Formats: sequence, C-alpha cells, structure tokens
Amino acid sequence: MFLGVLSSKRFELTTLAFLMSFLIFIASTAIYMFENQNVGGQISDLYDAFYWAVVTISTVGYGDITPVTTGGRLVTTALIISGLGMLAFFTSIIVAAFNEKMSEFQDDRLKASIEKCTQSTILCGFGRVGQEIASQLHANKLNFVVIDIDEQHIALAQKKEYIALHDDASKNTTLEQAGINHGAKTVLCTTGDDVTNVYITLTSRYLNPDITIISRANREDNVKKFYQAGANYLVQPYTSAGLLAAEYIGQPVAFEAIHGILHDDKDVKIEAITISQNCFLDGVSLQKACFNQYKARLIGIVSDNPIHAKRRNRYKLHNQHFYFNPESSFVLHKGDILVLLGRQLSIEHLQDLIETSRLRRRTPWTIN
Amino acid sequence: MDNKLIAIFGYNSMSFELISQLSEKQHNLLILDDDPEKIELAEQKGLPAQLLDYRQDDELVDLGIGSQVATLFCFLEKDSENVFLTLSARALDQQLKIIAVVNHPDSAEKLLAAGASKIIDPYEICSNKVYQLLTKPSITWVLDQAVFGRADLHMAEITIPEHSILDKTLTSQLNLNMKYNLFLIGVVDKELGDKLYFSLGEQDHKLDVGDILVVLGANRDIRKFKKDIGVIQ
Repeated sequence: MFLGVLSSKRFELTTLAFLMSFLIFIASTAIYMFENQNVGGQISDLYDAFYWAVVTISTVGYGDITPVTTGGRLVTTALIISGLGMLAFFTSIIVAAFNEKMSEFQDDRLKASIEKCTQSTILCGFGRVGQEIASQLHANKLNFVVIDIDEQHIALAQKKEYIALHDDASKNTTLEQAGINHGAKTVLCTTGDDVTNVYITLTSRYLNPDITIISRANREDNVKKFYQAGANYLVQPYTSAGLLAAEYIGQPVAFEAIHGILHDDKDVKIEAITISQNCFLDGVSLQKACFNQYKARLIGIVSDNPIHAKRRNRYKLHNQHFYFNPESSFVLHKGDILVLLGRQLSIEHLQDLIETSRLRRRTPWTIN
Repeated sequence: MDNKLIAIFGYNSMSFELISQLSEKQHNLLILDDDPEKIELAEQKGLPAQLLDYRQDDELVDLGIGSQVATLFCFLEKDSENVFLTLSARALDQQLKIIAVVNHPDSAEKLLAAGASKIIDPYEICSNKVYQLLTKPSITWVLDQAVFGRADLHMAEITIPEHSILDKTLTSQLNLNMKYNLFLIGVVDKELGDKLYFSLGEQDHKLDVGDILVVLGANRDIRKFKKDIGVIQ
C-alpha cells in the first residue's frame, strides 16, 4: 500500500529529488570553497563537504563540522532555510497521497457495504420526506441506501451513519452502484421535483423491470405520467393533506381517529398479519378464531385465494381482494392477510402466537 | 349545510384539493391570496376568490373574522406567514377553528402556541405513507379507502339524536357488524369528555344523546343505519 501511495506521486517525488540533489551539490561545493583547510576551515575534502550538506539540510545538525568563515556561515543559513522548505514540500506530498488513498479506501468500503445489503431500499432524495422515511427505516433495522446530489444532504446522512451515495440518482451507473440489480427490493423517489421523480422512475424501471417503485407526485396532473413511467405506487403529499383537512370540516372526530392512526403516536394501530402455513389459524373459521379474546378487532381480510370469491363485501385491490367485515363462517387459509385494529401489544402477542404455533406444528415432521 | 363561511388562505395544489372536496359538500367557501395572479387562476376555474392582504387586521375584520367566518385554513407557503395569520385571527376571534399547514417540524409547536386548533404536516403524512407502502401495502389501501373514501368504503361519524332507539344502550350490544355490516371504530362518550375511545372490546360505554359513533362501512349501509336511529328521515 505504501509503495502504491508513493508511485501515485511519482512526478512530484522526482522533481523533489532533482531539486534536493541540485541543492546539495551547490551547498557542498560552496562550503568546500569557503571552509577548506587551506583557509583555516574544518573541511578536508569534497566527501566531508557532501556529508556536512546532508546533515545540515536534513536539520539534523550534529555540529562535528561547523563553519568558521563569514562566507561559510552565510551558506549554512541559506541551506537551513531551504532545507526547511524541502522538508515541508516532501511532507505535503506524502500527506496528499495518503488522503487520496483514504477516500478511495472509503469508497471501497461503501461499495462493500452496499453489496452486503439484501432486500434493501434505494432512497432517492434526502430532503424532508426522505429524512423521515430514513429514520423510520433505520429505527426498524431495514437496509437502505441514500442517493442525493446535494452535498449538505449527504453530509447529514453520513453524520447519521446511513449508507449514502453523493451522485445523480437519474444516472444508470448510480442506481447500479446502489444495487438496483442485486439486493435492492424497492426504489423510492422522494425528491421535491416531479420531473426528477419521473426520470428516476423511468430509469429504475428500465434497469430492473421487476423492482417495486414508490414515487412521490406533487402535482395531480402528473399522476398519469408516473404510472406510464412505471411506478407501482404513488404518494401525493399535498392531495393527502388537502383531503385530510376537508375531513376536519365535516367530521372532526373521524379526523382525530385518522390522524391518530396515520401518525402512529397512539398505541392503537391498524396492523396486517399474514396467516402462515400450519399456524393455529390455518383452516379455522372466524367464529372459532374469535379475535375478540386477543383484544383485537378484525376489520377485514386481504386475500388472492379464489376460495373466498363468493363472499360478500368484496373490494378489488390490485390483483387481490379485500373482504370487509367478513362473516363468522369465513374460513382462513394460508396467505390470507388479517387487517386488525388493536393495541400494539395485543397485535404483537397474536403475531407471536401465530409464529410459535407454526414452529411447534412443524417440529414432529423434522424429528421423524 | 350551514351558511358560515370557510376562509382558505393561499391558493396552491393543497388548497385546491381541499376546495374540490368541500365544494362537493356544498360548503360556503372563499379563497384568499395576496398574489393577484393566483386569484386570477382560481377565478378561471370558477372558484370564489378574493385578493386580500393577510397582514392587515382591518381587511381580516372586513372579511368577517370574528363574525361570519367559522373556519380558517392557513395554507400559505411559509411557516412564518401561517404563524402570523394564525396569531392575527386568534386575536380577533377566540372561537374560530384554525387549521394550519406546517412545512418544518419545528414550526408545529409555534403554530399551536399561536392558537391553531389543528396542524397538518403534509411531509410527515407523505413519509408515513411511503413507509407503510413499503412494509404493509394492504393496510395502506384500506386506510386510503377509509380516510379518503375513494371507493365505496367510508368513515362516518354519527351523533346520536334525541329520542333515538340507541339512547341508553351499551356499545357491546350494538353488534353493528352483524346488523348493519358496519365496523365500529370508536366512540366519543360525552360523559367522559371529548376523547375518542377506540372500540377494542376492553371497555363498555353507555350511549346517550349527543355521543358520537365513528363507523366504517359502505355508503348505503351507513345511510340505512342513520335512518334507523333517526339521524335522517
């Protein structure tokens, strides 16, 4: 590594070496002329002169040979001053070389940490919205890579120890570097500019046809363009806020309820739980499951299972269906998603029960 | 609905969405802005708009703050402008409902201190929604329908009228999901104050006249329920 550093500064180091040899040559000749034994000095031959010059220029200065004539002292003073300059020059070259190497080293480390990420999210734009999403992702220990072109935003991200790339997110190379084709699961376009968001959406869709893209759309007119560019989901901050404000006029209490649920600040939440294979709820009817005993209430069930197709209150939802307020005869199957309203603790408890019952049922199979 | 005026300060994409929602419900509203260009834009769309400088208290009084105006929306661009408007309006009318938009989280407290009744942070809503889409997309759909009623599912609040059959019944006896195909989200029990109690089966409430039920369901079911308990004839 040290040799690598030196070779990267070959030109500067050669220049320095030439300068140094020239200086030593001039200084030793001069001192030999002023201080040779014929004029009463201590220098007997040219080798002594060379030795004296090296000891002086390197600021070592043993003092075994000292100048006695005025001319010799002048030469010494000049050599000491230029020696200091040489030393400073040499140090600065080495420090600069190491600095460059250091940033390369950090880039490599960044690349390695991106490559290690699986199921990660690429977050394009680290503004107000991006920062809040990042802190939520970080709090829930999910992998993500931040990309932003603004230096201040990147500095902020680095300060919080997020993986951050300082580059243009609409460039193919940047997205590839962030892992769009290996490890990344979702791309979020959260810049404040619709044009940029559409462009990043389009680039991401072109690079990876299967990735999930969630984009922020600021203007209602642009919604269609986002879907054309390949976005899976859109979030419209101004529209949502406007709708919420409208709700307050007619229904202030409902507004409170929505606000509470949207903000996650109360411990009452709407949460989704997936029925896994072999868990204690697989194949059980709602009447038997009786969610009330877990202090959670079932709002509905999301499922793509054709078995439920004849049930009432069916709402279409992408390629699945949402069954609102299902009857007690509704039988749960694996893959169904329960949408529950309840306290955080009750829901976590139910989730644990599902997980442990699945494991318990599986053990006899593995033993036999 | 009532004839009280809703004043909306600032014409932008957010207030436009609010206006299109409110005008469906036949509210009496007026857009105000100090930028003549925006007023012209609003008028081109056939919306009631008026040029007004929110910095002048006289103009606010002329508008009807303190008399006619019941609700005020502060949708101006900068937080400082919204705080200023909230302060001026609150000084003129203690009862006014003021809903303000906040751009920076630090400003939220300032707006509340200035006298805003409610604050809305569009960026926070947006980031929460993105996070939800990322982790549990099916919930987002359900919430979207419930909150914003884009499909047939709606959230509605129903105040129990006088001489209603629900007077003196317990929430546990309601069985709305069986009888009306409605999901009861919560109750405001006036005996216990204005707080919304989420209906989680932990606590029973005795319903009286004036209590509010928040329900989720299809439009026709909500209408049928309202008819049966005597809210609409």
